[in-house]
Amino acid sequence: MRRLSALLVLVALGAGVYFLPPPAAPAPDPAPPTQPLIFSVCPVSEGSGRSTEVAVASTLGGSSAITLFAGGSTVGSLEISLGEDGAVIMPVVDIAAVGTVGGLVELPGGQAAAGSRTRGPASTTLEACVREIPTRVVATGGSTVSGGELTLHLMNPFAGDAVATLVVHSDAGLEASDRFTRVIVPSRGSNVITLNNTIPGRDWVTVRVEVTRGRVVAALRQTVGDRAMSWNAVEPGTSWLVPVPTEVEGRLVIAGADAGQVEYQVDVYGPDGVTEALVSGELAEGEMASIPLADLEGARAARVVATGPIVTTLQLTDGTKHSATTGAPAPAGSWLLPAASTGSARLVILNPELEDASVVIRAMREDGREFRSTVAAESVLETSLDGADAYLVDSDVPIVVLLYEAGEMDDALAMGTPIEDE
Amino acid sequence: MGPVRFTMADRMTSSSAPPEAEQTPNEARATAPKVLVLLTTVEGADLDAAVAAVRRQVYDPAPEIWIVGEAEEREGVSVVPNLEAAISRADQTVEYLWILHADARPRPDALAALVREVERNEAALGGSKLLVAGTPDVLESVGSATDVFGEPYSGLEEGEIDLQQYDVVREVAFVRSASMLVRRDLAQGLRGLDERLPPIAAGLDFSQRSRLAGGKVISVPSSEVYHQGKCDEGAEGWKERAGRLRAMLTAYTPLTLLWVVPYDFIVAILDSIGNLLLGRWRPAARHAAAWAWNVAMLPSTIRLRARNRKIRVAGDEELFRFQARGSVRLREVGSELSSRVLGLFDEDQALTRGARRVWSAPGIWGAVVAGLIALIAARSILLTGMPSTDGTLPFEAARTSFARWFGGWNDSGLGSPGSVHPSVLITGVLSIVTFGATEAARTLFTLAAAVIGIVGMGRLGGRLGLRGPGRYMAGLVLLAGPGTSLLTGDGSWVALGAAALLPWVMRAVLVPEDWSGPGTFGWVLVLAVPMAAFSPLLAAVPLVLAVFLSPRGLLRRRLLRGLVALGGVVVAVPFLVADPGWVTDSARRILAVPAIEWAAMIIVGSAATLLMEGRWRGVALVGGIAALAAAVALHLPGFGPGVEEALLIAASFGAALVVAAGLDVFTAEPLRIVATATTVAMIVVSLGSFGNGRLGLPDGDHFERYGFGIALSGETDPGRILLVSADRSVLPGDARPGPGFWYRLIDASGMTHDEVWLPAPRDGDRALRDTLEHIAAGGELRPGALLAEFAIDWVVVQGPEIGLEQALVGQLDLLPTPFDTGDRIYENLASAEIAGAGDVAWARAGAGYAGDEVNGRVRLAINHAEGWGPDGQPDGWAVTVDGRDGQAHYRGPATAAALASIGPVAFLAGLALIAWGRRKKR
Repeated sequence: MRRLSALLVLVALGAGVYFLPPPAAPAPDPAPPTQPLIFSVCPVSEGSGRSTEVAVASTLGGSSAITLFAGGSTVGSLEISLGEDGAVIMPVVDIAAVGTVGGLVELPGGQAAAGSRTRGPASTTLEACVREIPTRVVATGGSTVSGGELTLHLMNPFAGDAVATLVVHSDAGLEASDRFTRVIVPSRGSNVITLNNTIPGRDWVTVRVEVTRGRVVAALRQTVGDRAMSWNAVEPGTSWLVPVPTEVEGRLVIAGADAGQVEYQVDVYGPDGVTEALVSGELAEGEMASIPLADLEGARAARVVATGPIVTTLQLTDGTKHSATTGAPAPAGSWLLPAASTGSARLVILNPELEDASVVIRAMREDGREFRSTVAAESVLETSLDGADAYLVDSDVPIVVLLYEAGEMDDALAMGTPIEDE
Repeated sequence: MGPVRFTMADRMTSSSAPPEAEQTPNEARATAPKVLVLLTTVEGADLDAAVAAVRRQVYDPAPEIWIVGEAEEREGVSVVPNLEAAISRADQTVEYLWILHADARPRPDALAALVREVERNEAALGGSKLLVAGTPDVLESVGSATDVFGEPYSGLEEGEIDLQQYDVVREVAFVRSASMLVRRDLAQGLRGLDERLPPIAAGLDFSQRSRLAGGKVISVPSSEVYHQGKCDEGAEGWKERAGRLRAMLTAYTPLTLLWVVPYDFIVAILDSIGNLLLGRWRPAARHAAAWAWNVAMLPSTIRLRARNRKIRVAGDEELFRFQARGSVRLREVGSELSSRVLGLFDEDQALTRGARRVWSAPGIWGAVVAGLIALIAARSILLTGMPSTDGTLPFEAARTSFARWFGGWNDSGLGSPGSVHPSVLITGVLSIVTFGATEAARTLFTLAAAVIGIVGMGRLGGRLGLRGPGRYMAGLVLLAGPGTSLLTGDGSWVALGAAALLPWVMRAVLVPEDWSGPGTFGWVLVLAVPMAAFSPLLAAVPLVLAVFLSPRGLLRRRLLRGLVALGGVVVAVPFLVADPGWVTDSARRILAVPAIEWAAMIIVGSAATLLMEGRWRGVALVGGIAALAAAVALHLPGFGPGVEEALLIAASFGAALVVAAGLDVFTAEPLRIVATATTVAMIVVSLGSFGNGRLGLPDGDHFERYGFGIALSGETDPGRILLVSADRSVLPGDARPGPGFWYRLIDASGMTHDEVWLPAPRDGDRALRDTLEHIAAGGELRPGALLAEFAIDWVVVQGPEIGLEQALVGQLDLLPTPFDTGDRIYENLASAEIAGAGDVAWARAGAGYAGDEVNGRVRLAINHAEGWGPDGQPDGWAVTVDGRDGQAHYRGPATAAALASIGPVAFLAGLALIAWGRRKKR
């Protein structure tokens, strides 16, 4: 009997071992919500007749700093408080004549944006500085035919070298070159790749930058004669919104970003409302479609949607003046447009929604005025403003805002930077 | 010459003895030489009886007797104050001096035999055969050889009876001064015995000087003297040691002394260590006293050497001829140690009975096989040294370990006034035993732990009535069984030490019926305190198991001892008070649970053994229940890593008991076959974790993995390394939960044993947690500057990719560094000193910090606590001190030091109880 009891105890304990679940493994605390980056990276060019000004704007004031980096170290930096108007211009010439490098702009907060304007002897380029730094970005619309130069500027302001692979497509197909594989962008440095040297004579070029280590900011710069335009490489998406200034010539450039065919259509916001699928087509990986604005029947804005990831760029040119910017992937309630503008500028505001938008536009400069307007549903408002360091546009419904500046020698075009409430 | 009662020829057993026909010139003399007897007084000896014994000598002319020392005048006997005076006063007609102790009783023919053989052999000095007075001819001395250090080596067994086996006249290294015949002229030349020396040393010294003066020293066995040994009391005392050393110093040439003195010093150290291992401290003290005395006596030694130089005619080679090779002392200690060690495995004394019967001894081959397996299981440790990884880490210097333990600063993480783990105390002791060779201490103890565990299980099995080989083989399951293997696999070095000691504590608790007295409690304490230092809560296991392993009649006694074993936990009180979460916080457990296969084997093995008749039934049942109950408990929540550790070791211990019982005998009985097969399977499965050659401890070298910290730090303190991983098990020792990962700080100059356990979080730890959360959220451009506040010079990400790494992609001051360690390493370009002010950097120094003196405050990147000085002040969560002293130190409250002393005091109390128990037995 005692043995039987002992056996039962053993079996009961064995059953306990078998049936009792092991205690749950402790987990670390949950990861915190991701905070937005509060810095931007801008291409900077100082010297050889070119000079860059960086405009910083914020809805909350504070101070901002720009640090130029090249050759693995910091070349110089400048810290300036934003004025009462919430914007400031930081001339790079006050720091150093550094050539073509990258600049890291530390923003005063999440509701801030930076843009860089580079003036040459006969050219002006304007583009928003990059706040989002994804590992895969695409830029399309350049050309390496003679008479112009297409350069890809890869910037890495961070600690640690970055490695990127360039997937380059052109009218000649996929470009195979050792120079495009495992491109090392040194820490606190940048690589300026002149694509004309590697793939000359291409009518169009699409570049996909795939970063395998670190982070890289990429921007294209196209010169035509002594004129220039620049635009950022952006993360591909399936929907793009592009306001178009009135009375301009140019084209809408669309490129497939991934492997495989992708179908796209261009819906146009015109005086008569939205015309859906005015243009449509198919794109292979890296293939570029160039749609002249003239074919878009007086379009005030365009919406490009696709079955797969694409990128869209608006390029304006009248044969002598050139400007470009990438589309906006989504509308937002508030937009900052750092401009560093001395002359007048035009804001093109697209309301893609089905209800009217009440907008408040403020020129961020001393004695800057603020005025209100309404943008009807699915329509575009274009307004001319005096020069300012930056512009702030608030709306009660999501909108898209683009800055266009028609200069005497060259034009400037830049998509605004959407900001979110903190 | 008077009548001779028996001659050398009568007692010769050696063919080498000179034949009667070979007459020496001295034998042709008409009368015997005149002898003066110098009877030296000995405290407690009967002087009248000694005089009477001399007067009974059959020798003509009857020798004159002088008493040397303080004595009353007697008829026909002169008294001289000392030997030197006596020798110098002896007149020229005297040919020989017979130096005789007052406690010696020569046979009537002793003197005649001495004179005859000294004359025959043309010797200068002859010594009698000494027999122990009051015994049936037990031999005390027949002349001795020595080693080069003067240690006598008689070759006699203890209590050896005189069967005339040594009755041959031969040259010897020295003869005892209890009865020696010396030529008067030589004695006057040598100025007699050195009166500063005790008897044996005096004999040695005189013999050596005689030999160096060209005289022969012989042993004369036909001269028999019964010796009461009153002069020898304390013969092995420090004075004898000192005397031998002095004899050596006065006899040898400087060239010989050049190597002999250091050699003797080393021998003294080794002898001290050997004796300490045997539980004897006095030899070490004697050595120290002997050296000290000789240093004090150096001027007189130098004078003696000068005097001896004048009469010296032979070189040291003459002394070497009669010396044994090596060290007699070391040989004796080594022999005793080896017999003790062998005795551990050989309860039946088979080894000491003779090699032929060794293999018939129950358990001996089990011990040998287990030992061999353990040797193979430790091969990597033997060949390449100890791993340094996880919880198996180098020791700090003994002084630092003690400083930390006795109320000092706990430097783990960002530091804490809370106590370090009690095993730090043990590491300090081990480091001292190895004279500061901490790596040797670590290696030797780890290897020893395997032996201790195997032998402990064997001896415990013996106490439980088991006699077979299984009890030693069970040691393998104890060390690598279902629970211990999980702990050692996780890198827990302390688990190995605790498991090894558990069977010994258990054995001390399970005292036999006829054992009692304070010594039994002392042994429990002496074993339980170090066991609890390794694994504090394991101290409860002997108490619990004592309940089940004790018959009713012994239950009370054993429970009492079990309670004493539980008292061993006092050594861990400071640690448990400082970090109660170690007992209660289940989030800190490693959550290891023995595999279900183990449970199945334990059930089958213990059930099969249980169903048989025999002594093993109870052991198998208790073992099975203990192992399974521990395994069930491990499935439950509500307790911390301390309890988990004890349960895992208890599970292995229970399994080991099942194996010991299951493999106790081998028969063809079906149940026995099942039990044997199952327990063999348990051993085989255990050997799996031993397969790595490191006794189950994981491979790794922290210094190789994190050595960049030191290599790149230059002359400044390497600061700290922040280790981060999504997988807690890859981080060494304790880890804290962070935002989406586990993390911990380690000392970049090399992680040490005390850092395995992280103390309870304080302000600095909370600040670091907040900082990490901020960095992990992304958007921080300069995380290095934030981490520099904590003196974090490096961030190392291990294991799978974590969100933090994404946050570290876009920042400016943590430089990814491609070291080939398999980890992702970031160098903090904004690093700050762990202790410093402005450009002045201080570094760790022992348990504190030190550097150049600074006029101003020096910030220490450690958690603030009262006790830092000089003039410690809080600086946020950190500390600043006055820099003018060039050092910062921590003085904990007196209560902390007092609490820390309880464990050592308990251990010493245990030793005292053992000593008391032994004295009572005597």
